[in-house]
This record gives sequence, structure tokens and C-alpha cells, in this order.
Amino acid sequence: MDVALAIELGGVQNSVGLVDRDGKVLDSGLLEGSETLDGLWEQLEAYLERVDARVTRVGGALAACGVSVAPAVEQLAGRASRDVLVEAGLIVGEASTAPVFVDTVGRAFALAEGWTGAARGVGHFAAMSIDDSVAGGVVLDGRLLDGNFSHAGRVGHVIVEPDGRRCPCGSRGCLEAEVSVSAIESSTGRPLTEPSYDHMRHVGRLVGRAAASISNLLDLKLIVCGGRVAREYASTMFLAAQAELDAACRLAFSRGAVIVSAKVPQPAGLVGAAAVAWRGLQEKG
Amino acid sequence: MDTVLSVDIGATKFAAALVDETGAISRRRLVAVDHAADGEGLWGQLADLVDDVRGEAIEAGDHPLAVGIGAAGPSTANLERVSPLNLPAWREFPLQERMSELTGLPVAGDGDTKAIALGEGWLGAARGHSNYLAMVVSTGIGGGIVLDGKLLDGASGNAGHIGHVIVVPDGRECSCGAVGCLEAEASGWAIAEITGQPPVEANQAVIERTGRLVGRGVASVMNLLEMDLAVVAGSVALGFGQAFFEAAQAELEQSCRLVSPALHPAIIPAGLGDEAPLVGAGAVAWRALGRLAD
Repeated sequence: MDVALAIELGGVQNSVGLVDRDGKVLDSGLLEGSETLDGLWEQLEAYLERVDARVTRVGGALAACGVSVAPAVEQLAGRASRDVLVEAGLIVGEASTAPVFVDTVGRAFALAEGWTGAARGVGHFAAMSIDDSVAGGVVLDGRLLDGNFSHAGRVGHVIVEPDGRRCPCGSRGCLEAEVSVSAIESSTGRPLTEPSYDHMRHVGRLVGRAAASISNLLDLKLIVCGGRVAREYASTMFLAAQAELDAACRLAFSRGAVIVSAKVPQPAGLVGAAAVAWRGLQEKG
Repeated sequence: MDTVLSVDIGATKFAAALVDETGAISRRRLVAVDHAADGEGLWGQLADLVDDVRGEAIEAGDHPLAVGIGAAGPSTANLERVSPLNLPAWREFPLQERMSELTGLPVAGDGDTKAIALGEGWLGAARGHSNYLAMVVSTGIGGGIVLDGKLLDGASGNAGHIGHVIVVPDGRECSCGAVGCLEAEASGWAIAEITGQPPVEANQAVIERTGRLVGRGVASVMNLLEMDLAVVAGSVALGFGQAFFEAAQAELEQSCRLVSPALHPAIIPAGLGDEAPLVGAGAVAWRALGRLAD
């Protein structure tokens, strides 16, 4: 049985595991967190030394490795000073004979939802995960879109509030600048877990606005939304987002677009990292 | 050299020509659309035009391999049903089937702005690029996107429709029914409504505002899809000229700030001018034949 080594580098939480061709997680564990990138790499290297034994234990054969990297890890490295995705790929590649594929957590999230989650079998959809950053991916014409540097799908930097809050990217009014966990906490002065009803609706409207722009632009009718904010704000946020979509998707091809909750159960991050591996094998293997 | 028959369905005119594998146009013919005609009358105009071009070609020993059509939207995939906004006589008109019956040739069709996107990548301002947006800013605003070397289609063939990206929340009501779409704020139609004058009379402030809003819409697209080239055609954008493009570029640079990895956004005039629709429709046919050079 072919298995993929799945590694999700989230920064605060870093997961590792083995996943089969159907998306079933056969083995999973956590790496200890680290304050520095080099510390994280040491943790990863120590785990990689034990991978062969774990693969044998589940009765599998390692076919590919998939790594997903969160923006938080890139921040450990300092702003754009090191290419963390490339470094992660090299470290895993040194320890493994199977091919290694690396992608962002947002794109891995989109792949996972399309594989076993809320967009299963759907050829055209966008996925967004709202956490400390707003990450995502777009699948169109049956393919995850890549763009110039294979990071396409940055839903968090669609502009939803011109002249709005300053975004970490340097622009203003990006979705991420308005609805990420830190944006919510600093604009309301309250922790994410204690929102007001009005604020949850406000976040929903902005999420719906970005989703509507994407639906109208790309001729797609499904937006999958996950992450901590989506989980905390739940149906209040989704209803407001859907109302905004209904108001703003009025073209013959975008009318009826829907925003739904992500569906891949925990450890979804490992399913995403494995999806990166299987996709890589299929496209570039 | 092999050729295809290229057909452009515009709001005011039909055009047809031969397009060879290098993109060279020959035997171009135009006819002004008879807006008093009914659906069959319109088809008669188009059929005569296509017959003329094809007849001349065949007489000269030139046998087109296929027909490529670019048509104003909306339409269904491959132009099986077309309902061009400005040609009310055609609603759900079976253009692809009729053209196929008329010519006996394989017929490939696509939206006019997607055709232009293909043409601009083939021979125009996006030549050699595998990630770009091509857009038209005229009475309305439309576009087409090439990503990872492929023209994006979307669920019903309408991907690239940048005119309905939201740029002014709580802005003007759009013809689509939503609020604050780029088309509701920066199209020729919107400018005429806002200023009470046609776009050719627009003053500097209007030109710059239009550029900024187009830049804002394009910035969302570039950030989302990680691309950094937009080529712009259309009477409003090209008529506004440099001041429009400078304002759009400034807005892009403010709003495309992702650094890891960095984009170098550019918004520039399209390169094919008046020939864009016919070259684009030709590209649609060559693409369908699998012979569109990268």
C-alpha cells in the first residue's frame, strides 16, 4: 500500500503523519514547537530519522512526501529573507528517497477540501482558511491554479475595504487586514472567542464580498471556508457571507454561488499535506 | 500556408477574415449590423459575410481548416447559445450549430474578451507570458485570463469577467444588479452616467479616478492569482491614454505588495489594436485545432 509522508508546518503547531491514497490518516503526531526556524528544522530532522520505522509499522511503502508551510513559519525566517518552502523541501528530500512536494497551507487546504471535503468532485471552487492569516487556493477547470511562483489562490489579498486597515502585506483593505484573527482582536479589542453578534455579521459580509468578487471573476459557484474564525463565528458569519454573495453574484453564471463550511475532519492539515504529495506525484511525478 | 476563418461578432459590426498560423490577417470584410433585423435577418447578414470571405479564399485555392468565432456575451460554452447584450434579436441563438451547418467546418467559439486574451498572448502585448490578464474597458468591462499557460474557462466558459469584481463597496448600482462592481464605476457606460458626458469628454479627474479603480480591480486579481501583467484594450482605456495607465499603475503598486515572492505588477496598453478581435477569433480556432504556438 502506497502511503504519503505528510508534514504540516503551521508554526505554532507542526504535525507529521502518514496518509494513504484515499485520504485516510494512518499515523499522526506532533513536532515540538520552536521559536526559531533552525530549531524547527532540528525537530523535523529528528522525526525524519524515525519515518522508515513508522512506514513499516503501518505496512506501507513510502511513495511521496508532501509538506505544507504556513505564513507563520515564513515569519520565523523574517520577511522574505529566506525561501522557507525551498528549505523545507531540501531537508525532507535529504532524508527521503521518495519525491518531495511543498506548498502553502492555504493551497493544501484547497486540495484537501477538493479531495475528501466540501468540494469533493467539484471542478471549480475557491477555498479560504481564516486564521492568523487568510490563506487559500483556487481550483478551476479541474486544476489547482499555480500562477507565477506556484502560490496562486491568495484569497486574503483580495481588496474588500478600500482605504481600510493596513495589511501586513503593505497594502490596505485586503480581506486579511480586516478579518484575520489579529485584525479582529485589534479592531474589536476583544479576544476572538468573545465576539459581538454585529461583528460576526460584519466579518461575514467582508468574507462574502471577497467570495463574490472571486465567483464573478472566475465563473465558479462554490467557496469553501474554514479556519479558526469560521469555526468560532460559525453560522452567524456564514449566513451574513451568504447574504452578501446573494446580493453581489448576479450574473447568469454566478447567481446561486454558495459559501460552505470546510468539511475535512482533523487532522485536516495532514490530509492537506498528503494531497500536496499526491498532486505532485500526479502532475510532476 | 494553412488558414482558419475568423469571425468577430461585435455590438455594431460583424467582421470576418482569414488568419494563418503566424496570425497574419487577409481578406478582411466588415458589415454594419442591421439592428432592425430579426434573429434570422442577422444570421443572414453574417452568413453572407462568411460566404463571401470563404468563397474568395477557395477561389484562390485557400481552404480554411476551421472557423473561430469571438462573440460578445453572454453565451454558453463554445458559443452553443449566444445572447449578446447589444444584439437583442439574438437570444439563445444557436450560433455554433448554424455556423457549422453553413460551412461544414469544425467551429470553435469563445467570448470576445477571452479571444482577445488569446490573441494578445499569441502576438500582442502579452506575447511570451504564461500568466496574464487581458481586459477591455469600453462601454462595458470584460476580460480573459491566461494562467499557467492556459486560458481559464470556468464552470460555464465565462472566467476572466473582471467587470464584476467589487471595487467600491456601497458604490453605484451595476447593470448586473450588484453594487460597486468595476463595470458600475469605470466603464464607458458608468462614466457617461456619472459625468453626464460621453467618455471622450472626460476631464483629468475622471480619467485618473477610472485608472485608479481599474488598478484596484486588477490588483485584487493579481494578488489572488499571483500574476503581474495586465494588458488593456478598449476605446475608453486607450482613448484616455497615458494618464489612465499612470493612475492604474500607481494604484497597482500600492495594492500589490506581496513580497514572498514579489510581484512586479504592470498594466499596459494591449498590442493588437483594431486587429485584436479577428486575431483573437483566429487564435480560438488554432487553439481548438491544437496548433496555437506557445
